[in-house]
Amino acid sequence: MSYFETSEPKLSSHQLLVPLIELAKQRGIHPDKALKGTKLFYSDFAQPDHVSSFSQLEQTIKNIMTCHLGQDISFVLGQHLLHSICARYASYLFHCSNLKALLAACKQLQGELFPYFSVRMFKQNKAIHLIVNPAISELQPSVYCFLLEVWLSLINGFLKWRFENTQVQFQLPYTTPVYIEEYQAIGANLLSFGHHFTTVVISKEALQTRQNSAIPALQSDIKTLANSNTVGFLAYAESFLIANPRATLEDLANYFNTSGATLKRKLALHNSQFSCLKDRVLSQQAGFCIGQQGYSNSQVAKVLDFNDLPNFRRAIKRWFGVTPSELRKVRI
Amino acid sequence: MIFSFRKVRHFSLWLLLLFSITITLICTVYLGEPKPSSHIETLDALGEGGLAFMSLVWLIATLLSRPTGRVTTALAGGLTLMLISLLLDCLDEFFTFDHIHPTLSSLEAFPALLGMIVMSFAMHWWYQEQTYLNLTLLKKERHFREHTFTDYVTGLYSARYMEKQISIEIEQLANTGTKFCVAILDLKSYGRFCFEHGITKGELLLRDTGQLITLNIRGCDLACRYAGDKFIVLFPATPLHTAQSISQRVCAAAQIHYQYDENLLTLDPNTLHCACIEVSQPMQSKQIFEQLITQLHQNKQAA
Repeated sequence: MSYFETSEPKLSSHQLLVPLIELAKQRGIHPDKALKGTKLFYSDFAQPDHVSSFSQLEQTIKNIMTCHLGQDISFVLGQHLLHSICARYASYLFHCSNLKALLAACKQLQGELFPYFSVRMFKQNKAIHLIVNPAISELQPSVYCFLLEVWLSLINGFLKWRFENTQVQFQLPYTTPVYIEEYQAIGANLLSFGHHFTTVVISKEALQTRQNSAIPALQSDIKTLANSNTVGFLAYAESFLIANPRATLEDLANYFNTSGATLKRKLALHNSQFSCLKDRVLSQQAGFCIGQQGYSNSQVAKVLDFNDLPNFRRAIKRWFGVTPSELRKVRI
Repeated sequence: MIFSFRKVRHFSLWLLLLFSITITLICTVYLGEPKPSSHIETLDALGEGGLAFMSLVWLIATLLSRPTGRVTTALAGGLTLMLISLLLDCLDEFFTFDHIHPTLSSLEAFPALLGMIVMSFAMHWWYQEQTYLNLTLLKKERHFREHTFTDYVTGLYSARYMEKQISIEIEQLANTGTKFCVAILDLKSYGRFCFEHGITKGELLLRDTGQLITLNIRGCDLACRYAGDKFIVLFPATPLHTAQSISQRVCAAAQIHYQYDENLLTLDPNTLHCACIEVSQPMQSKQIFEQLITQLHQNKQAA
């Protein structure tokens, strides 16, 4: 597995950036205004294989958000993305027999379908919990919300089309937005806001739901696709921290084949810090163990490799603002 | 590529503005005599200069925002005359004309007077223009105007505007007991339409549908875009059967509406699903929307 950084031109411009600029143009925004500060020109996109960096996409999103083009733009963009993904990856996705097989295919195609987010899976007896994190760089809340809306529109559009009447829960980390009707319009019924993390909860029964008109024999082999093994910088770092919860900055730097000081600089360039990244990895695990699996404090402390319980309690208080026992009573 | 200045909107008015400012400055500098620095009143000069600058800002804003026509020409002409007066008033602080004629400085207010007369005509025509525009906004606007609630795609108002309108109706219901109805209209297979014909064509379909709805409702009704492919119509002081019958007419009109592509080949007509409820007791607009969505889902499943 390899990784790419926020300033590296690794993302296909025609996947999200160009449609976003076209949508803004359709609504009266000049492409130069949308691309301000990105060092990109509209004419660059004439090349069909043009690539751009995540920071350029982020800047464009910020530029377009300041133009107040209506709250639906992210949802329309998600719909567009659904169409382009379906056109390109239909043979990989449309013939997955059920939702479980589709999730497995999406995991392998993660870098191709939506490389801006990474997904961490937690399994429970009755359901699976997919926690969604930024994959490349930490984002401003408004940009994160925008990308999350694009992603929700994409996911719900697919579910509505191929898995009609399948119930999937979405837990979002911000307060109920004023334009809640946009979320309802994409068919996301089981939505709740104000959670600590972005989580998708799918019941075990829902995972067995058969996909409409799927013929598994016609599914293309995902291994034939190149470049699907490259992930964003943060996702790469997180994958190491998930496997090594006690890792230090130096361990992570070794994993990146760099020095601690360089890694610190790189993390800062991605609006992050080692402690924040580690806290997120551990707090998500702790939140799941306490909130969903009902583990005792000592069990969770053991899972997270804490030496003593007072330390563990202090960490929980710092991450969630409540004690472990209070956390058991509230939803994560 | 040669840039053609003549293609600039209001080219002649911009030229008039530039010409007026240049002539005023040249005449003042050429004909006037500079005042000694001890005679210059800084605060007065700053205040009058500020007035001239602000009138220039208004003038530029008018030229940038208004379409070409009689009202704009009169507004720009009047403001230019006022600007000349204010500019002369400011330059008066630095130059004296006493050597030509002692009362010459007193004439500086006359362009402003003429400008105000022209502006008065402009205001009258503007009022008339607004009256006509208000007529075109019938069925799209009620009681108040708020451009921040406008939906860019359809040109209708958004769900926020409808929320405020429903709150007004609910207040009326609580005070006078006047019941009203709200309907939701949803485009059938909009996702598939976008998949087949693209998002641009999809947005055109939404715009057309918005117009189709406004065309088929009464003058007192209000149509807004809810979200995605859903529209909301408010029927004030209307019994349920009337609202349902109007909604059915809108759906029937949608069935015979055709979209055309570049080669004038007709694309499949899209039909509308609809749900309509009567509000007979005070409740929150969000609850009304929830009830409508639930009923719409039921109607879809029944269909």
